[in-house]
Amino acid sequence: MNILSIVFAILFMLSFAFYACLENQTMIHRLNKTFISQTNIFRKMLTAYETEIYKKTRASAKIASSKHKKKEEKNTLKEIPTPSKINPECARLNLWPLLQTGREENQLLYEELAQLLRQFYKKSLFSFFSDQTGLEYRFLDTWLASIKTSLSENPTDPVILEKIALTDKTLQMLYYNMLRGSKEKYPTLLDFVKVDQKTKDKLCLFHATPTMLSIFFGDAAQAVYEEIHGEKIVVTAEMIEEICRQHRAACFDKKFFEIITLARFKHDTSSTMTLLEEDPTTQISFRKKMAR
Amino acid sequence: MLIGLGLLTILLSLLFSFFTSSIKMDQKLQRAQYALLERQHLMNRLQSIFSSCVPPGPLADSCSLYTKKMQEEAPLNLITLFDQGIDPDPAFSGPCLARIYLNVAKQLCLAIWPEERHKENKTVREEILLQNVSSFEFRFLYRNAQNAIGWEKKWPKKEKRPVPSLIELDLWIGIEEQEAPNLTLSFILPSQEPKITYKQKNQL
Repeated sequence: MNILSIVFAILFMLSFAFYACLENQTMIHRLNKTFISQTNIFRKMLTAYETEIYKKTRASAKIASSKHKKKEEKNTLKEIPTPSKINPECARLNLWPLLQTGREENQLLYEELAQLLRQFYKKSLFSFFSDQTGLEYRFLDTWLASIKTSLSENPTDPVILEKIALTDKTLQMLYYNMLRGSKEKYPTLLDFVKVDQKTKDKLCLFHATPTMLSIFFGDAAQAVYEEIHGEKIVVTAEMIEEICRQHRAACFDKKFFEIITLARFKHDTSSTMTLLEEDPTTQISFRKKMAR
Repeated sequence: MLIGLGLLTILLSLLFSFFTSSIKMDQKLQRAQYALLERQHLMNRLQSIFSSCVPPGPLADSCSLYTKKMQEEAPLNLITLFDQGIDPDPAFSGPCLARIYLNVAKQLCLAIWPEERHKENKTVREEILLQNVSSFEFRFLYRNAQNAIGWEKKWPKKEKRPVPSLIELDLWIGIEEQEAPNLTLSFILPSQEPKITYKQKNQL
């Protein structure tokens, strides 16, 4: 009987040691997997970067074949393009007028920013930071004041939203989470706002992603996107109003056209490009700004 | 009873000897894996920094990647302005400065600090990239005056000098009196320098 207990004790010790070894191996395997997926993402990013650069250099070759392409286009129906992963710069809300002339002068822009915060971050983030209502307005006021302070300290430098330090520590943590975004929960704030001192252009709806459009058109965003990118040559405010009515999107207001435009302009390409790549096996994703 | 005890002793001694040898093997493997993980971490860290180099423009007034001699007899340090991304500390978010150097304890280190405009913030983040490094050297892909592509060991700070598209890092680990490096790592950067123009066949 005594011997049996000794044997069991030894076997227990051995199984414990085996478990410790196995755990170590699993951890190393996970680290290796992460390394491989990160390397893959870097490669993908460099490939995406090179593709972008080559697109620019091969412009002359494209012009030569454009006649042939036009003929082909006539014969085939126009397909709705898949929206880009990142909302482009031209389709972001510019904070500059708010910083220059204040809230009273830009009430619509201010309200749209508040709507943006409510739509993407209220459910998933705000409840963790405060029980009070109207956190979006408190955050907006503190945020805009901090950007103003940063601008007054370095008036010649461009505003880098990631570097803005808020006075309230809770709001700073909230801001950090909003900037980072969370996969499939809430997007990064950087995709929807910018501080551009040079441009006075309105927000371009033609290049906006459906996620951006949802701030203005709610549930009708996808339908509006399809209408803008469909076969119609001209899309008017009335057409969009009709779509919103069909989809019962109550938030639509014609006043929006003070800050948004339906014109199909080509915009100047910015000096940087943001790339977002994901490894499908590990679901790790990286977002990087690169020079053009 | 005695036979049973004898058999049990044999069984247990066999089990223990197997277990001891497997532990020894495991320790060896762990050491190798630790070294591998350390190198993987070094590669990933440097690749992520080099691929986020801020190009000369509104955010970087001059060259954003350059080498600098900090101490006599120490290898050239590499300094770069890179986009750190989003960090809980706003000073360490966005463009930050990084320095790759060898410390007195023979460790290859990386120091990160906020860029110049945040002068009030004196905090520096330091991390050890690789242990037991006796020396290191960077090599940068460049085009010389004769239009030939080659490697340059120094990349001094020059006004609006572009970032090279390829950097190699040679590492001497352990023994110092060795001519060839023990480890060479290559890093591809998102840059168009040096530009290589290919000619069509009929133009040759």
